[in-house]
Amino acid sequence: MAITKAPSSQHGIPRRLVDWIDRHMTVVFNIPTVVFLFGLVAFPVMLVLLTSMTDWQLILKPDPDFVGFKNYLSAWQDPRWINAVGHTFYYAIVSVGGQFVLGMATALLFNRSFAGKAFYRSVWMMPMLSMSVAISLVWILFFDYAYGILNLGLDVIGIDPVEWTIDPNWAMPSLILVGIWHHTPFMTLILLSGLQSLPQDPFEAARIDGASRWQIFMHVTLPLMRAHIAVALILRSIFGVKEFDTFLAITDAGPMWATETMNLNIYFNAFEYQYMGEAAAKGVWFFFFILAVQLVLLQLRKRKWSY
Amino acid sequence: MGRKLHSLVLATTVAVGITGTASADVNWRQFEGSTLNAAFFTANYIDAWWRPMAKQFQKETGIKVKMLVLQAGQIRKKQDIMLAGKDSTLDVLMLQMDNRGGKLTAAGHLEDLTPYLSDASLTPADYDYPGDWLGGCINTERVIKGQSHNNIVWSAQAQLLHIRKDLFKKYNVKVPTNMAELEAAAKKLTIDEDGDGKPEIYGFLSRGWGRLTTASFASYLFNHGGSWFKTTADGTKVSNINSKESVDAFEFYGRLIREYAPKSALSNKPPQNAALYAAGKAAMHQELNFWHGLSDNPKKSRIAGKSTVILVPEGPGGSFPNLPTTSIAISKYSEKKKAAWLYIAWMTQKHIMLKGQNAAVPMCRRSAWSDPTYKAPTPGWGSSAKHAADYGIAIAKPQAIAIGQMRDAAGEVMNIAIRNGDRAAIQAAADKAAEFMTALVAKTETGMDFIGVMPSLGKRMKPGVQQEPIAADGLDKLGQ
Repeated sequence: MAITKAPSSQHGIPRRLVDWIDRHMTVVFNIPTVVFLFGLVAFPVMLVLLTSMTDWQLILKPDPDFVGFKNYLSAWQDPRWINAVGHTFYYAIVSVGGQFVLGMATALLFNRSFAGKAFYRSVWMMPMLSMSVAISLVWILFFDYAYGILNLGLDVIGIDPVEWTIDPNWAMPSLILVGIWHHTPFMTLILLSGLQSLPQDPFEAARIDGASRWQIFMHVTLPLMRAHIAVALILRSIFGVKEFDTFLAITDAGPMWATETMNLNIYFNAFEYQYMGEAAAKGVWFFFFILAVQLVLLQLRKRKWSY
Repeated sequence: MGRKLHSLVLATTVAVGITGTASADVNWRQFEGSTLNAAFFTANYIDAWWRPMAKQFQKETGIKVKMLVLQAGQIRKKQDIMLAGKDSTLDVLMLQMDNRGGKLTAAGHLEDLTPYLSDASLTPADYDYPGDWLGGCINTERVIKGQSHNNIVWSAQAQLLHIRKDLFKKYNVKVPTNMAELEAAAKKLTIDEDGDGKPEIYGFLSRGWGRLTTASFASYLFNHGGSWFKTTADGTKVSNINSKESVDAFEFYGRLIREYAPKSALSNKPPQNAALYAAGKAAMHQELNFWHGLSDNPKKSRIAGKSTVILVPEGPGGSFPNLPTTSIAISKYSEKKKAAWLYIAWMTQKHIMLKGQNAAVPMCRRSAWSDPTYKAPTPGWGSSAKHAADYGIAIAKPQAIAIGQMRDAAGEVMNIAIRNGDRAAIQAAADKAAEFMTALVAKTETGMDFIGVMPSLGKRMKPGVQQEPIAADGLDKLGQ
């Protein structure tokens, strides 16, 4: 059989180049990803690390000096930063906890059959689709002391109005309320998909053995849902620690810094006060906090639970 | 001799005439086809004056102005980043010298305008700078010793007291000229018509939110005899917000907000407070005088025609109108500096500024106020704005390089003053803030020759001036 020799080039590409690409397919296909990751992740991270060891100020000190780890240490002498760390975890734990409880309850509800389920489920998911700044503006109106719908509602049932975002003690709970309203649908979505993917045999076996609904939930549903719960908690915890836009729009870290989180503190240092070096060091601390949260949650997921 | 004198007068007149018509020598079309990038604050004057004038400017000069208009906080960050990056695409910027003027001047980011001012091919001969500029405006131009003319102060918006004429007349309340009368009026005009314990109208409305309060509080601080800073005997600049007079002012202002303002004021930004006032919910509103445009607009306000503006009442320390002026400048890194100057010179000409003045944008040119065609929105507005521009001083923020942190520190004291009100608690907060501010001055201003806009630059208000805006609206006989 006569073999036709391939042309020396196809569409003008030299044959040798085509052969080289064939041999190094893995490398070639990864180049765009490597360039992308280097440009958008590795390079900025290196820049932040470098900046964090300088005393760079945007306008007043454009030619910074190297200060080593001074900014890393001085962050922990700043009472606002220490408070901000506490506020961040307070918000993340309470907000994500609330989202989980409500998310699980609504997921269990939507896992049952009832009339109009599709409609109610769509309505329930709507906050998740709304933009943070837009919903913040609406919540500012809801929280208004004199004319907000929340205090009008309390007035109807005879309860004194609450200084929602005005009182330092109420400001963080107010933001947690917004966080729960905004993000619970996401939790519902993940948990509902988990519930719908569970095998039915263990549930039937439990029912035959005479287990109550609560026992089935605690000893069958929760263990089987472990992977989904872990994913939902990891994702929401990371987003919870990073929450920024609603805080900035609704309370702007106030009153009296009662809602200043790590994110906001870094923002104020960098863009209001222009201490870029200090802000970068705090940014690195922030990264380690997020990493720690992830590691803890991943360990919880890997752990072999006994029920 | 008489003939010689006559000849001399004639020659002088001709010479002046030549100089006077030298504006015709400025070839306004010399940079035809250029495009300038300008970064401006969001404010009522943008749509009222800057945008329409930019169209006219383009028609007359062939220079297009692309305006980037953002909220003040955002545009400041944008400008700072562009200037720090020596971005040549930024040509013209709007700024407040009492805010970032010191920083930008110290860093050398603003172009020295002196050569442009003296260049007859770029500046009309009748430009008359600074001769035609009001004293309060010129006081804010320089904040660092030896600073060149690196900005043109164009607007003199002042923090004044908006009052409801109809309510003062209806309840026959004396329009306040001192702090005691102000509190008495606030008390009388906090009105609970249906007796449900929730006032329908509050006596006093002003900023109550953290760092923003420094602007509305400044006149109360200085009128009480307090100040943001003082200079010690050895010439050291230290914070003065914990002095007896300053704490008196914090206590007074905090009490006004706590007792006579709606709770919303504690979280409101100026636009929300202005909307509350325009909705008829307050008898007095401490805010920049340009907000009169909103309360007097029948399409947007329930109190159109019922409000006027007066000076902040005098206190034990005197009367210091707070004049946070606005400047325009050229970026040092612009590649179109001459065209940018042509834009500034064109916009700040007498007849162009007069148009802004007639659009209720208080201008810095003296001639705009005295022009026979100028008509103030109300007689009181015109009188108070003119006196503020003449006697005012830019005290809206603590005069410092680290302005953001200074405002936050003062805002924390105000939060205590409003929420707590206990004298000892205010004093403790003020002591803590003062210590922080003094340390920050030492850290950021050493060797910089930063002077800020000090009250000593201002001239003391003449007796009787306080009463003039009130009398201008015929409200001086009330409460007797």
